Amino acid sequence: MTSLYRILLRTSVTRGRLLAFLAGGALIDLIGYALRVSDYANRETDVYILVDGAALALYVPVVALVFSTSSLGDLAQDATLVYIWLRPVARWKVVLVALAATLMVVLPLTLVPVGLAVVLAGASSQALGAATASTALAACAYTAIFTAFGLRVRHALIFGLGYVLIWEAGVASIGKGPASLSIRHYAESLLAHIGNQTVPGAIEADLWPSVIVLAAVTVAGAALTTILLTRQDVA
Amino acid sequence: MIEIKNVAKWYGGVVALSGLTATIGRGLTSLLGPNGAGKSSLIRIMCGLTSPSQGSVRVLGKDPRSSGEIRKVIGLVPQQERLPPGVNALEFVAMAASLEGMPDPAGAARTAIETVELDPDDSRHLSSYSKGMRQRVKIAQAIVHGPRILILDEPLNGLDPRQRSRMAQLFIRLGAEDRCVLVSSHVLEEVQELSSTVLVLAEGKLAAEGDFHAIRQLLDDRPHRIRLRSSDPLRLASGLMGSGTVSAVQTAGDNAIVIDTWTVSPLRRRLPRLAQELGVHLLEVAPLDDDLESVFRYLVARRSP
Repeated sequence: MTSLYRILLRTSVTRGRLLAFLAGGALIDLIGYALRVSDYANRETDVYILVDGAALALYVPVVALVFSTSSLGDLAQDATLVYIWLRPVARWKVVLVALAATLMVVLPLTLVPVGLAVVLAGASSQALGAATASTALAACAYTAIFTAFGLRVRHALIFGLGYVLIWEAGVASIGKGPASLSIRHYAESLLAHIGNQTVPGAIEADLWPSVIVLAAVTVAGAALTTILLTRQDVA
Repeated sequence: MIEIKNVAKWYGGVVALSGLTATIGRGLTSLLGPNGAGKSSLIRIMCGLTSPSQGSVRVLGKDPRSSGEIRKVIGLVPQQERLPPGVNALEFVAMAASLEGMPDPAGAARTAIETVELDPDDSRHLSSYSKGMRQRVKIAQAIVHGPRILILDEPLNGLDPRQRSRMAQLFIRLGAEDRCVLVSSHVLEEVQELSSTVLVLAEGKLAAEGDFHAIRQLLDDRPHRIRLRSSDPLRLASGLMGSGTVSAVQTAGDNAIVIDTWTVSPLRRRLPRLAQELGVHLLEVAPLDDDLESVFRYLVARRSP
């Protein structure tokens, strides 16, 4: 399975994607540093706004979207999935390897800049813990869902961006109903509870339900990908 | 080893296969048919990559779509050229060997790559390979685990004549090793080189089956339509009708006639002499239905009730 892992990793990781997201992460860090040098009284609150508004609402889902939809999705689109599909390997193992390969890229690309931004902003270690935990769980949930999405939907990147920008960053902030169907909602609730800080504009859920929902979405995404991989026609 | 029973496959309103029944046993079998005949659809169904819309396929008695065991014994060379990006031949073929659970994936991959006459130490990515080299890498990944059933969809496409001949010899050798080897092609000469059992597929139907020589005979013993342009078409038409080598003649303008014949070889011998005897100058002899498409169409029409 190591060779499959390596090939899946190389399929989704390109220099262009890495550079684009390293630049995006650097921008978040720059904003974090700007918060430190600015003479604000509410620096700690602003750090939470930065993590919620820039990272959890946009950066984390987009990074997960790009790498997740391209892992098995790109293979399905360019008809090279057959080289994996026709081998006598359990589908769930293929999915787990694909998720591991994607998270191997997504987690460092999201956790490092988000954590660094919190540090550069001079926020508390509690804020660092909250940002790290919420980013990690959100990244896992997005990765699992978008991997399934990439396998099933043509032009998954475009539709996924629509989902992130319209639903997650827009509609989900209108009220509790839409928010309950948003991964970001649970991630920002986690951020607020662990950081013991109110996140402005966030509709909060309780701590443990948020953890459970994010974990359940990750498992459900993996299960859905396995079912799709088993049932779908392969070119 | 492979039983196909009344299989049909349609995509929306497009029928790819229709009521196909055939059995493929040990040894080398060629699947011959023009592009769009349904060869790739049939191959995908045999490998379990898609389900038939109707009918059933059994590989070693099992449904290839649902049986994981069947995937252990099948090797497939798909038609599409694309290979995963960012990897070299050894990594790609070793991945196949590893997923097949082989104890020494790298060693098996080296052997398979050498079998198709490529260099396992070539570190270039597959994207930089020529079409012929990519085709051979696809063959290597299909044979790396020594499958009992080897299915190759147009495997000789993109190969130069020497490589084509070497790969054809490889398929013949593999077919002689108590395996089922199915090679699809739309080129009659390729199938001739394999001199195997042949299934002819056209318009999604089984048009003919048998050994290559029987199929070749069938292809020759069909009505041929030929356009003849001459200095005196009516005189030539009359002479041909009297010679007994044509079954129908019609005028086609521009000093031309179109003849139908079942005996193309005797006609070929008789025509120049007849023209000379009649004092007619032959200006053009053009077969109108000698392309494979029309041959296949004829075979389908002949088999239809």
